Amino acid sequence: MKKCILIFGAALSLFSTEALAQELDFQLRLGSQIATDESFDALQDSNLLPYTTLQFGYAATEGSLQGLRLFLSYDSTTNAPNERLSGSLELDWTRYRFMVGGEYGIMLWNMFRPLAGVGVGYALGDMTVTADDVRSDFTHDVAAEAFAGLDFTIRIATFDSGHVLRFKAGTRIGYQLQTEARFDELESDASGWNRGTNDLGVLDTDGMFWNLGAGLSLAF
Amino acid sequence: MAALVGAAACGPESSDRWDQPLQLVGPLETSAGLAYIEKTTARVYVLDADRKADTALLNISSAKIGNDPGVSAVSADGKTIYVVDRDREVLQLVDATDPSSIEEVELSGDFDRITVDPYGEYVVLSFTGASEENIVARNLNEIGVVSLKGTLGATFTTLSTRANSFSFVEPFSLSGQAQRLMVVLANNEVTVFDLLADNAEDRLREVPLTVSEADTIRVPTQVIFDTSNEGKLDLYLRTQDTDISRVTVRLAPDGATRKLLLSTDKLTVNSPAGMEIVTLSNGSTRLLAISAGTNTFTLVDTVSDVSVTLTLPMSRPAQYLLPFTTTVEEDGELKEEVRVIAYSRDSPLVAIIRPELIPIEGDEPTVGRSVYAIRLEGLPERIELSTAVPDQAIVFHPSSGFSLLNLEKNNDIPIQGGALKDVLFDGTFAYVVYRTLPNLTIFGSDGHPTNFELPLAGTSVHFDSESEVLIVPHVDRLGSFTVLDANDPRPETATVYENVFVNNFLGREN
Repeated sequence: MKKCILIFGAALSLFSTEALAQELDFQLRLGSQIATDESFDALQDSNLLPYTTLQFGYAATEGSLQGLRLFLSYDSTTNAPNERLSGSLELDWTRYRFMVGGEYGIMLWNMFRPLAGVGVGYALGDMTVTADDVRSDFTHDVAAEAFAGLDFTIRIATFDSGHVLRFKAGTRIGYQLQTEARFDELESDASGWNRGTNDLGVLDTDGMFWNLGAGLSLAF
Repeated sequence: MAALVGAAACGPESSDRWDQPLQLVGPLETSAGLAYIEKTTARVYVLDADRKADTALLNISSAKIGNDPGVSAVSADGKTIYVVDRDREVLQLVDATDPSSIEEVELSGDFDRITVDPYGEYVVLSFTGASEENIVARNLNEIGVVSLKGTLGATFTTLSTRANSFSFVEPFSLSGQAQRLMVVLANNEVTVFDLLADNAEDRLREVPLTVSEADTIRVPTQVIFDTSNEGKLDLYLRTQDTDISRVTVRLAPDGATRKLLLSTDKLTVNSPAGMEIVTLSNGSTRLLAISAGTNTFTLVDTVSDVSVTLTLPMSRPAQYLLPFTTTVEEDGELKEEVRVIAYSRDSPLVAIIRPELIPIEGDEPTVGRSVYAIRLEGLPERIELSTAVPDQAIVFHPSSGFSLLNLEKNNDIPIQGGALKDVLFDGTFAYVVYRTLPNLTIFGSDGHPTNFELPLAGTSVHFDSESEVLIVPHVDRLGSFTVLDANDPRPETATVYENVFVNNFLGREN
């Protein structure tokens, strides 16, 4: 019985939070965006676009800013290209986003953190069209997102300095907005003649997203 | 993990339509440029040649049309593109200058043939009878006549026999009454359709070509109209390799509003392979017909019906006739004379017929060779008259090279080189593209060729007179074009456009 109590106590201590003032974290997130615009049908058969996010966060864990976490993130979304027009055409699209934002959450039982947040940033679109030649174009847009989520935290180690290393995992669900990306100047890589550009049209990337992530945080 | 998330959220998959190859119809020559109908994406494209400084450019406009575009055609003035939307059974009238501007006329079916009135007043829709999938029921004898004058609308009529083709008579008058007639050619029957008739009874006049339905089927293949006589219209009708009939149309003598009376007689021409009407300098008209079985031709006086048959200086029966007008000097005066080229794909000899010099019974005998031959370097595939240089024609050969026919000196200038794909005469020069060679050649009036490069072999060549730019389409699944300065067609002043029909690909609708 005493052994069981010790194990339970040790387990509880993993989730405990000491009164440290600040926390830095790093997270890797994998997710999918749900494409709602028909223009995405040109890119791939599925309506789901996989994406990867790297995120750096800073949180003040005391005072009036307690519960607020600020983040910087970089993500890349890409399509799984399918041949179009009976194999005549293939479109490869990748979007890179650089976002800043904040999220607010409340720690429950020193373990769970329901949260809500917003972000805003810059989106770079890269389209490559492979037909008889290869053509590419870039777009530059403003992006924003709003989300809700839940984080789960456990303590890994406490250092002699008093700093605490924690493992974090969590999920986000939200909606992302972006100004319309118009790929209207696809330029050929061929040489020798003056070549006209192609206007492929507009890609509307607005839609729901969902991701799962994991990372480490250091409280000090 | 992404796959896990993907599996959790299932949305509708895209349509197979994205995977179908493009189905292009064109080029259609419009007043705004070259037009193409792309059936898979249901879009119309108009390519308008332009220039910026010394560089030739292409302005590309496109618009969504009906979901299931069928047959298409261009109006006589080139300003409108007609497309049948089989999905909603409407005729769409697309403004070539602004393709997004579309008018519609409701139809009674998904007609698969459009015949355009060359005088700009009517469009006729009909069924070819060609078998297609997904046909529930069609009245193959039904036609729709769309009036483009006044309020846009269509009327529908069921003919006695399914139409093979339609021909419009130029606007003329019978006994002072304005007429617009259309002739419907069908197996064993010809129908004269009065487009101005205000009642169904007077609208159709049918002329049977056989005594009994059990007779051998007679297929009328060519019709020529002679409106030069006041008070009647003569309609010369050639049935394939059989005979030539003349249908005379007059107004009923009782003064009835628009009732037409028809009479028919046969001309003494056996097994005609082609015919033309020529007007002589004295105003009389002659019908010239070539025989399908012998190397002869027959000239018929259309008033007296007296005819004369002469031998052509060719080793095979002629297959095609090509009339042209030349200028001759007579008694110190220049006058125009109609001559006719007769040729066969099986003979290197081309015959030139001068109907003016062929006396028919009662005519004054004339001096000069009435029929003579020009020997070509090879067999002719087809011959086109030059609109750039008087008395010049270009001869396409099936394998390689081509010839310039000098119809004044009666000789041929063989041009050694690639087999021709297309030639264009712009009024000053002849522009030529080749079947396999990536080159463009410009011929001056002296026949001297100047060769230029293309990025790919051209399929045809088109000239925009406003910008003086040449458009050369290439064989390409997604649309490839080169535009060149017609006066200086070097790569430095040209622009290549590729993947043209992929433009707006993200915006296409499923």
